[in-house]
Amino acid sequence: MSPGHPSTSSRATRVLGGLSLAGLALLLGYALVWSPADQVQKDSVRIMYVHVPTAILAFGACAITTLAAAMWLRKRSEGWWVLGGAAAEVGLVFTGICLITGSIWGRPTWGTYWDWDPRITSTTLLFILLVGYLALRRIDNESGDAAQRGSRGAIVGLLLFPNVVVVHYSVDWWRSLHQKATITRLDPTIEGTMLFTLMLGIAVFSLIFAWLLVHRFRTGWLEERAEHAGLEQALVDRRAEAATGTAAAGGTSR
Amino acid sequence: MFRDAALIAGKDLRIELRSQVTTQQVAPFSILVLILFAVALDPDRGFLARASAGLFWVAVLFSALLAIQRAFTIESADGGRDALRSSGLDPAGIFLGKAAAIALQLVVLEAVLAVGVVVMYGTEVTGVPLLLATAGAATAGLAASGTLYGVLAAGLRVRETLLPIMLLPVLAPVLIAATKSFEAALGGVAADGWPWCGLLVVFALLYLTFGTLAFGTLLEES
Amino acid sequence: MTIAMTHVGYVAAGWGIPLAVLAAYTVRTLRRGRELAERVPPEEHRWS
Repeated sequence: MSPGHPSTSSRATRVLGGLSLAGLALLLGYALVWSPADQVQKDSVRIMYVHVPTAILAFGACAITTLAAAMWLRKRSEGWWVLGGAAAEVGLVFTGICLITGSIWGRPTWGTYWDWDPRITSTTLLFILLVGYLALRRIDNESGDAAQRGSRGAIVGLLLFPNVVVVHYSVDWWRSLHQKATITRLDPTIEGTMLFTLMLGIAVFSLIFAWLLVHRFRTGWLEERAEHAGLEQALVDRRAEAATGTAAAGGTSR
Repeated sequence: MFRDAALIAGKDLRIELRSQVTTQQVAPFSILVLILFAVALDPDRGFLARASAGLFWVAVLFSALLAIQRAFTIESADGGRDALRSSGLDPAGIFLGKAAAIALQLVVLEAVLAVGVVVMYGTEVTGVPLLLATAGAATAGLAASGTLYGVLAAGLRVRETLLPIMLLPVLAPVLIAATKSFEAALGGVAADGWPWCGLLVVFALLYLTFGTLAFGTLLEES
Repeated sequence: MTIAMTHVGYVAAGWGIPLAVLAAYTVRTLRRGRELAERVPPEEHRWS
């Protein structure tokens, strides 16, 4: 990325991106080669080093969206509005990855791609909650005017995290009557290199999350600006057109 | 606030009585859903009766969606929402009033569906106090959250498609809790159902409080 | 290097798909950012 070319990069994001990639390389080494296989899950445990971090970050993204919505309702500043959408969108990507990896891991471990495990169920509902929130925001964006829009999206954003929590616990309670939650199926005596790899995974995916969030935030910010610029440009064009139009009309008819 | 609520609820219910949309369209729809379940699942009576708690609440949820859409389309004609905004009524009162009107219609629908389930699925009614308490708490929660999300979607071109995708995941806890509670009342031990009923009460209170506080902001912009 | 691993296919998919999704999303976001950055005057780019 050449420094002169207009983009959403800055020195900070280049550092963040570099760290993310270096961390990812290190994580791949630990996750796929240097960490041992689990006694029960064998090598399929290696998928967990993607799955668990993305799950944590998916819920973290919801918390950020709710926080941004609350701040927007207080301050009404554009930045908070953009942040809410950026966090929800990156969160949606992470939630999707979490579901896919969980499903792939479930096949060798549980013998099925889909189990009505409390976490799968509540994460799927979280995915749909995020989709709904983003759909509403898109409509808010289309209805123009940054000053008028928003409460709608902000109210749903504000409710996002509480909803996620209520859904999570009710689903947990619902399923726990039939079976134990996932965590007890994992080897509880996780230790040593495996624990380190998991922690490294959480750190590296957090870096990637932050990096994507910053870029998505800036893109969202530019979207807002482009709308304004587009509107202003259209007005300028219209005026110029009107001016030349009348001039031309004056020239021919009189 | 409560006087405004009574005013709004009265208005909505009067419109409802005249137009008869709930009784002539939504209630038949809910019975239709029960028939569709019987067709889709094996209409062997034993199975339907065992699943009747869940099927009943899914039917309630679908019918509630229609009732909520309806509650907000009656205002979209002739600038009704502008009139409501400039009426000087307390927004909290408007929220409670609309929620109360929806709740009353839901009670009617639930009564129709209860008769339908008993007659068509052969469900035996036991644990009546728990059934009534659950229905009451679930209805309050459905009405409160439905009113809140209904006004969010109202006035949008895509409201018919947007409301279900936003509201149904939010209502998942209501479906779970109401189903579990009904199962306990109908088949199992009633004592197992009361905690679920408590969850429904918490949900209803949460949305009633939030809606009362947030409705003013929302009404201004819908 | 010998691969003495169980569930090789699952592990490969469990890492390959997430990385592909992340890469695709990153490319999309960066591209869109560049596109917009060209349309918006540079004084609005608060970060550069």
